[in-house]
Amino acid sequence: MSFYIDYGENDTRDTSTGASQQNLNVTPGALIQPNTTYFILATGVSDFDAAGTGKAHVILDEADSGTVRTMEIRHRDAPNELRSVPMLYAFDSGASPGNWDDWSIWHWPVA
Amino acid sequence: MAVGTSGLDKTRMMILEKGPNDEHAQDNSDSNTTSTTFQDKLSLVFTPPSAGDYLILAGAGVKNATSLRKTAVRLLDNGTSTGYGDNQSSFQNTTDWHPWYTQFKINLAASSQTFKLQWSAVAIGTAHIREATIIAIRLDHHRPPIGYAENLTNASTSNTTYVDRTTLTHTPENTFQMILGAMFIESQGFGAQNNNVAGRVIEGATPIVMVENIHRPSVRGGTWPVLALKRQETAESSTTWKTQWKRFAGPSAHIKDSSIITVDMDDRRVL
Repeated sequence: MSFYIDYGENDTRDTSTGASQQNLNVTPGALIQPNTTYFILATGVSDFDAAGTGKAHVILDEADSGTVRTMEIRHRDAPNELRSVPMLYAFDSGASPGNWDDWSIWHWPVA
Repeated sequence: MAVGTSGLDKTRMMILEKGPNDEHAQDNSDSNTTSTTFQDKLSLVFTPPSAGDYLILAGAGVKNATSLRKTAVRLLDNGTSTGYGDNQSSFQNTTDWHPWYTQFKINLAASSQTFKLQWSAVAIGTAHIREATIIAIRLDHHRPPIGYAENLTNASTSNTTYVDRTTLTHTPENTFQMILGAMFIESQGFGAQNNNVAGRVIEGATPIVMVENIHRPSVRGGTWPVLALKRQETAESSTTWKTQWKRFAGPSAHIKDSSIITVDMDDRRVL
């Protein structure tokens, strides 16, 4: 039996031509307790405007602990393709739960 | 050098605390193989304290270091030799990392259970897998009712408008609900735009599109995973969710491993 901790959603599409772009931020803060295991379920819909020549980085990132999931998604039919990006992650908060309390999904284009 | 513009929409994130009798395994390292026989990446081994229902979630990132090749992934229930989410991701370039994800509900006996996340090359190439996670959530300790429907087998359509695959009509309690809808979609074509296929998850009579995915594989038979995730506080009224799929103008569109689940979640913040 899992317990609900936090949830975030964003239905506003944003874009990036180079710099990493944060689309969603979820900050459970003190709800993350020490030495406790947590599961993260995340998803989004990726698009890209140049077929084949570039791809979209989509990452799941914690502000202190860094990037834990990285997808590098090639779009074959830009800009029409819409790619679902499911990501799963599990972590133990250890002695410093503050290192696991600020989660984001980012994206940017790469060659 | 400008390489294009990336867009991102409909992002969702849910954080759960692992509870008693939940299980998980994780291996984030990059492993590779040229074998066309499934290799073990990660195993989850546990013994349920009593027989009961579990929600199994599995995810990974996959690539193939040879361009225009495919990488196969599945979650094997070692006890029944059943492969869940057995699909083949296709890759245009050698550095692409694509998601793989599957989910299903299963009743397990109070005996040792083993689930293996496995991957292989398909015909040729070097298949990679990383960021692999298996989660087993004990369901029958959650407050009932739990809504679940599945169609895990492969189905095809030549329809160019959306066709229903899995339908779940359920009346949740008026508490936090976690709703997950998932599928793989597959095209038997590639390259040309008319080989696109699409899958989506919708909610309600005047449908809200929870997620829509339009997919053109780099290699014939390439699949893509689709996940809709939502938290809602639902009044006690009947709601219908559906997975749907369609082709555009090319070969038939396939759908596999389609399922929808709604789970009542205890809010840790108010316990």
